[in-house]
Amino acid sequence: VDGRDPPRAPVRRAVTVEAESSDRVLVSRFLSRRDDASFRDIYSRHAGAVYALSARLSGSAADGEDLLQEVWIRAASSLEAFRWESTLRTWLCGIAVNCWRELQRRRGGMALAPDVPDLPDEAPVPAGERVDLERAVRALPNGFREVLVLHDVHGYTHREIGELLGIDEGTSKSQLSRGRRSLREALEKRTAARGER
Amino acid sequence: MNDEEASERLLPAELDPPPGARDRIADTLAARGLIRRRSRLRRAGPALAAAAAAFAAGLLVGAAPGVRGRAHARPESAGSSTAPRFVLFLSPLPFEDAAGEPARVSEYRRWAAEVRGRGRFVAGEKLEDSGRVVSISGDSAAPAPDPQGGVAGYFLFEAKNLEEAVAIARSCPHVKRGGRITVRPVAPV
Repeated sequence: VDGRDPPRAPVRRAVTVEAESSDRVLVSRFLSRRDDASFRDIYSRHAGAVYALSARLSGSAADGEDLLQEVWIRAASSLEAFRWESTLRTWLCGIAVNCWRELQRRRGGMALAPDVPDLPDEAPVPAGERVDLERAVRALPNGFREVLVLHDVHGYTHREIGELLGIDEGTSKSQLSRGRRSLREALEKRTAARGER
Repeated sequence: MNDEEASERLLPAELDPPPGARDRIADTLAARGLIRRRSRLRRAGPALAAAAAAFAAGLLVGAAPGVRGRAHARPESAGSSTAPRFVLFLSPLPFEDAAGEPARVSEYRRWAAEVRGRGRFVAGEKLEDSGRVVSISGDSAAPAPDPQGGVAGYFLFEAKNLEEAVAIARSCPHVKRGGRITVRPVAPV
């Protein structure tokens, strides 16, 4: 929890290469057929990650689904231009971040009042600490939450976060550090409150 | 970004999207011509499908992305539903200030989410004031929507009958904000 990027193990690199190879097949099939089945194949593979990122960035399940939809509209429109300079998932998640930033701008950068208070019931129901953690992350201020979700949940590096959010690496690191501190304090408060009952 | 580090992550990097999201998104992509999709209408005949696609495209043109409904098309559970469908045409509000837009959008979305939670909601969009009027004699700029008879947005949903559709319309926050809602049944085809 010191803000440093995690090391990348060789075995994971191999898994990533294999995943990219499969993605290339799926994308090629989608571009040649553009049918429901080829869309579903790509969706099934990556929608979970895109939705998780969207719902946690926005702090709202409803906004998360809106963002998920917008990501696929943009992806289906521009997949032909995708040059594989990143993995497909990274590209899709990058679109999600951009859509989220645009949504914030349209709303005047105001703090969003979540229109759905919790993540949907249909999501895998986390038990105990996981529920607390999801709620505590959602309650973080936007700046902390964005960096913490991108770094600690989705594995982006500070350089990548800087590029995505238009901030420098130092800011990303300090936001992460402060976000983690806020998160820890929130969780400690919850634990203490439980102990008093 | 490393996609394979789940074990080191604070929380799982994947969450199941809401039920039906995949079909709703596929329908939206199909309506925008981004994928081809076999639909119930298409199976009924090419001419009917073309008409349906044109209608869907017409409804989707000019949508404001920020207030896009989560369901541009029929929910998964409605794929084989024969429940009557109704369109609510929302008039422009008589007193609509830009500053109140985010709160208004949020309120309408909560309402749509509630209707959707009952398995009724199908689609909804806010429309821009601008547009074009197309006729055999040529195109012209669309006039600003009239608060009495113009359309500023729509919702499409399923209901048992007109009475239930009207009750749903009455519950829409548009009414208490002074807007008018016209409820029209979708003609069975």
